[in-house]
Amino acid sequence: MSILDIFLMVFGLLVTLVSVIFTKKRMRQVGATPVEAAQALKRIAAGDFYSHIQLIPGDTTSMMATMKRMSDMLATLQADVDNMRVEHCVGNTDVVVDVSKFSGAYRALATGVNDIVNEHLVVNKKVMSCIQELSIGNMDAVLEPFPGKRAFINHVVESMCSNLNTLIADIQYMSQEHDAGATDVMLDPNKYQGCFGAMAGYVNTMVMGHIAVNSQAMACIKKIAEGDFNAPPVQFSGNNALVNHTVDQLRVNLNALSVDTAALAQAVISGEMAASVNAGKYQGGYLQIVKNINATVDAAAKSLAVLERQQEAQLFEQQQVLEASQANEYSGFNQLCQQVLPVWSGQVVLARSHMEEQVSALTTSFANLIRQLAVASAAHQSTASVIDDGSAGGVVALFNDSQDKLNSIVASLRLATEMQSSLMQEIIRLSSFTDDLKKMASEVRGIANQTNLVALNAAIEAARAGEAGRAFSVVASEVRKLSALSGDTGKRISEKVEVVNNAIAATMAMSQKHTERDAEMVANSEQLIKHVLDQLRSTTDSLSEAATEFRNESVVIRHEVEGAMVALQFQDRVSQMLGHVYQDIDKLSSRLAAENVADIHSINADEWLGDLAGTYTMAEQLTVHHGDGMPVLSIVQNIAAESEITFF
Amino acid sequence: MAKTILVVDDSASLRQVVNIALTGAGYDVIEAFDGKDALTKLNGQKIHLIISDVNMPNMDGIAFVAASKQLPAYKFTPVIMLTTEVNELKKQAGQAAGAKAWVVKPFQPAQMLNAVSKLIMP
Repeated sequence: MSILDIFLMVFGLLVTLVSVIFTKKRMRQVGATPVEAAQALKRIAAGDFYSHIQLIPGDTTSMMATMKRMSDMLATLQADVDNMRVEHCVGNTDVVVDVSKFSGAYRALATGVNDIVNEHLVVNKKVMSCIQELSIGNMDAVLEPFPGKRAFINHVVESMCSNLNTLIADIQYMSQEHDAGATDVMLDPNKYQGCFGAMAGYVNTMVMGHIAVNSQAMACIKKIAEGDFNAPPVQFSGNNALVNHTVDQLRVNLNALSVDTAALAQAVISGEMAASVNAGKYQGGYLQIVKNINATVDAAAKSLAVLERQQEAQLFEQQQVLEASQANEYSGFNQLCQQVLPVWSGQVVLARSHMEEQVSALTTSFANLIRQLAVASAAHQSTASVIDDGSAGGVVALFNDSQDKLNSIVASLRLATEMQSSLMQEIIRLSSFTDDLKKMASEVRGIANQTNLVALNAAIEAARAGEAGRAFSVVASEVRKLSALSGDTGKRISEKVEVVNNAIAATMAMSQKHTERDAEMVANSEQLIKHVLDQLRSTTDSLSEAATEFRNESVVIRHEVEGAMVALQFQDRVSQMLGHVYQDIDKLSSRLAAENVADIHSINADEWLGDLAGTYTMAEQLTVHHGDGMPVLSIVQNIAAESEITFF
Repeated sequence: MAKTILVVDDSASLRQVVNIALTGAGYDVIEAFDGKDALTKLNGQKIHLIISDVNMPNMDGIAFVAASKQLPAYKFTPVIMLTTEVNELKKQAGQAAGAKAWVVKPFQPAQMLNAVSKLIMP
């Protein structure tokens, strides 16, 4: 509860007490009706300091008047405090409530408000003063510790100081380390928060950038220092561009020196002893180097000239002496060479011609032999192929074909004999029918006899019957005629059957004879055919063997022929070798016959042998030329007859 | 119709041996004893293949091959060089002149015939 509330409550009580004790009389003292007074007071108590309190004119002492004064006081206080609030909000922090306007608790209240605000302002100033020191870089600024809830201000300021101090210390450390040469030391951006971290990062980037420029420049200079004048140039921008020029200038100077000295060396090597380097484009140490080189070359040229002159004089003297002595010592040898070399040459040529002639004749004979052999083998070959040929034209095929045909003939014959025997079976069946017929014929005769007897009996009975039996006896006599006819027919049938039977029997007998003869014939034919085929087979087998043997021999012969053809090619090789020899002998011979003695004495053996080796066309010539010590036989035997064929 | 092969070599016996190998395989053979003589044989008759030595008097094999390639009728006639030379430079010269193969003497008849059948004009 505030002072005001307590005050109002007490006052309310007081008024009620007064109004109870004092009545209407007191009403004047009150200054309004108790109800009005109560209402006014109520309003004030509720905080309404601005509602109009109606006073009796001239009334300054009544309660109402007093209430009005109080209400006005409270209103003024509230307004002043509010005014102060407004002014402070817009920054006029020096505005205070004028305490002289109030008295008692009102004054205390106003003073309290002023004090509270002032207190905050003081704290604010202190904090700001500390931050001001920090803002100008005075990290030693101290902030008095605030009590209670204000302590968070201390924490915040300390935290900021700590961050800044850490960053400052780390940068200082990095700076010292880099000064001492440890250029790999960097800030750790993760140690800091927010923009402090970013700052650390930027510092690192900037330092690394400078280090990189330095490294690149040094790398280029290192290459130049090691002699690589063609190292790629550095290209920095901005203020670093100065480095480009400087490094390049170094390179250009060294390069120029290198090129010029190389040109000088070349000139001197090719004999131009008066050469020198143009010193005009150098300065300082470079110029000194060039001057020294030129001086050296000059001195060397002079010495060389002197030496040459001395040498020439010496050689001339030596030559004179040598020619004189050689002319004496070697004239005999020279004469011998001049005479014997042409003889040797001639002999070699003769040997070569002999060989060419004879090997040529040998090859011709060989060619003829080959041709005749080819003809003979062709004939043999065609026979062999006829035998061997499994297709329709060959003997084997023919043999098989014949065998099939003959076998089919035998099969036909066999079939024929089989048909014969089935015919026989039919005939036998037929004869069994005739037996039946015979039996039937005799039955007919029997029946006829019986009928005759019956007719006879009937005639007798008819006769006995007299006149009555006359018709019956006619019938009986007709029946007797009929039976006689039947009997006759039966006899005739029997006779005919007998004839047929005899014919059948005769046929069967003949057939049987034929069958036996045919079977014999078939058996004989089979035997004969088998015999013929066996003979034929053994003939073709032996022919086949001969053909195989011939084929094997052909392979051997061809191998030998090819070997001979390789061997015959060696005449060409020998001819070439002998040619090289006699040509060289002739060359020496004509050289020795030269008029100028100096020509003869100037013969250089190494040069001569080199020229000779140049004329060779075969690898083994070089082997012998260089004199490896390899025996000639093995050289000759090693020449491969595997043709080296290269396709382009 | 048998195919015709021109054989050029200054050695008579070598020409004969090549002749034996080729006629045995059914080819017809014309012989020449050096480059100049060989050129006279290139007179318009159909030649299916040329076998030539390298080292010959008057005109060597390389010059002969180069010259034969200048004749329109024989520009595409395949040429086999048959020689004792193993020199790599000579081989390259032969290839440059237009030869199709390089056979080192002595040759095996079977291998020579194989090369001929591979290269001979149809």
